[in-house]
Amino acid sequence: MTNYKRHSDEELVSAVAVDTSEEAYAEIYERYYYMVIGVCYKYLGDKGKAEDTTAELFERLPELIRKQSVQYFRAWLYTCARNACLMQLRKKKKEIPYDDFTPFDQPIQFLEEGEKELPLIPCLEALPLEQKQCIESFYFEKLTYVEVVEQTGFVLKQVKSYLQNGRRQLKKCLERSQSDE
Amino acid sequence: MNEKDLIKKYTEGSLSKKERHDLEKSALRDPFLMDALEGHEAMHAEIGGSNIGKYILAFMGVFGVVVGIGIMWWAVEFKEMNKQSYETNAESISLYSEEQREEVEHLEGTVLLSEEAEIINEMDVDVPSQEGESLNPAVGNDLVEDTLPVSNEVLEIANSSETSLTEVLRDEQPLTTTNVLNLNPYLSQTINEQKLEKIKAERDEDLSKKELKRILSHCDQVIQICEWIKQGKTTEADKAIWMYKKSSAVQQPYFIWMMALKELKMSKNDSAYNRLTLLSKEQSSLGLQARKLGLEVKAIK
Repeated sequence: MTNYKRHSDEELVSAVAVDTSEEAYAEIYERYYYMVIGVCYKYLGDKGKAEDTTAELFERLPELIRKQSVQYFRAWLYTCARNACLMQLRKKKKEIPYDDFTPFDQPIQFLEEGEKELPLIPCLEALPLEQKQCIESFYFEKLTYVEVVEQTGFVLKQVKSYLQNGRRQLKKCLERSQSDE
Repeated sequence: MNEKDLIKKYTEGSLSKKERHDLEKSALRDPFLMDALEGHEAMHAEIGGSNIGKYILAFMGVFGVVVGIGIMWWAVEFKEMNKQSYETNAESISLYSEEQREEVEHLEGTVLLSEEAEIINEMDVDVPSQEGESLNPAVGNDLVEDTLPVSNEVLEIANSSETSLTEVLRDEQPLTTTNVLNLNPYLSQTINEQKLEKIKAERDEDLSKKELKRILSHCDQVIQICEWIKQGKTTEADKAIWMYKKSSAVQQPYFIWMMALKELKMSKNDSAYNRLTLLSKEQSSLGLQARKLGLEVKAIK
């Protein structure tokens, strides 16, 4: 019996798709069931429905993996989970195409390490005030969401939104400056 | 620590500040993790909230049950009160016929109730005797003989060096038919009897602690109730009588006696007379007192 604990997601997917390995599938289940149920609860707002939807998804998962070529498993599974929830909510009216996902963001240089280095500073200065404030508090002062809320006076949703949007803007700005060079 | 544990600890708030920050940072570039985190946070809050709701519901349920039991208890109590009232009435009816029969017997030369009353009145005149001897009168009547055991106990205690009967009975007033509605003599007598019972019980080394406690409780309750009746505090007395009836120290004759006294104080002579008639069957000093008082009430009626 192979121990899949140390295998990457892509190795597990391959084992499921090619060898129909139950152990590999069990490891995927162990790694992601809890996360998927969290996502489903966020979308459906009902624990029972979230559990049912998650169970159905994991039941179909080996089949889906075999049918589709899964490159970025984590992002793919997230799309599957959201689709399953949306199907519940919209009753199959609209579905996100499975090939319509992009891999999740890579870490932004300097920002993730909390270092205010040169390429980052002009981009940071160009951000709207709220986004800049939240980015600085979170990434450079290393505060948690709740602490940023306390420091800035914004509500949690706003903080998350400013951080997401600020991060996106910074990424674009850095990419632009790199291409200019 | 795997993601599952991190998310669990994050929602429980048990991560360190750095772990928390790192997880949040990861979530910003991983929408899967962000959604999972938000979903679990919402679930945690929801379940926590629903638990509070459950506790409130449970509390409401318990409260409802308690109120329900209370209502049922009151219903049972009222039913019992009514039942007792009916029983008293029924018994008094049978006693009336007994009395009528006695009156017929009187015509045939047997002992008269009215004669008993006279004898009792004679005895009452002697009651204030400072030595308490008249409490054990040589009236030569069967009814009075019933009082002997208690009277002897009274004398025994009274003659002891530690307690003066004179002192105990100093409130005693002669009872006449004219002051029956002023019940102080009867009430004083009851109070003093109870005081003596208390003293006797406290001295009795053979009594178990439990029994002693029961007697003392009984005496205290009767003393208090009689004091309230004396003072005309009938509402307090009424409550205390029913509390007394439910206590472990209850003695049914005393319950009937106090009810009768309270009713007389409230000028409910008919009802009181019925109770006294019932109580007069008791073979004790209380039974004799009830008979005496009953005859006086009857005379007034």
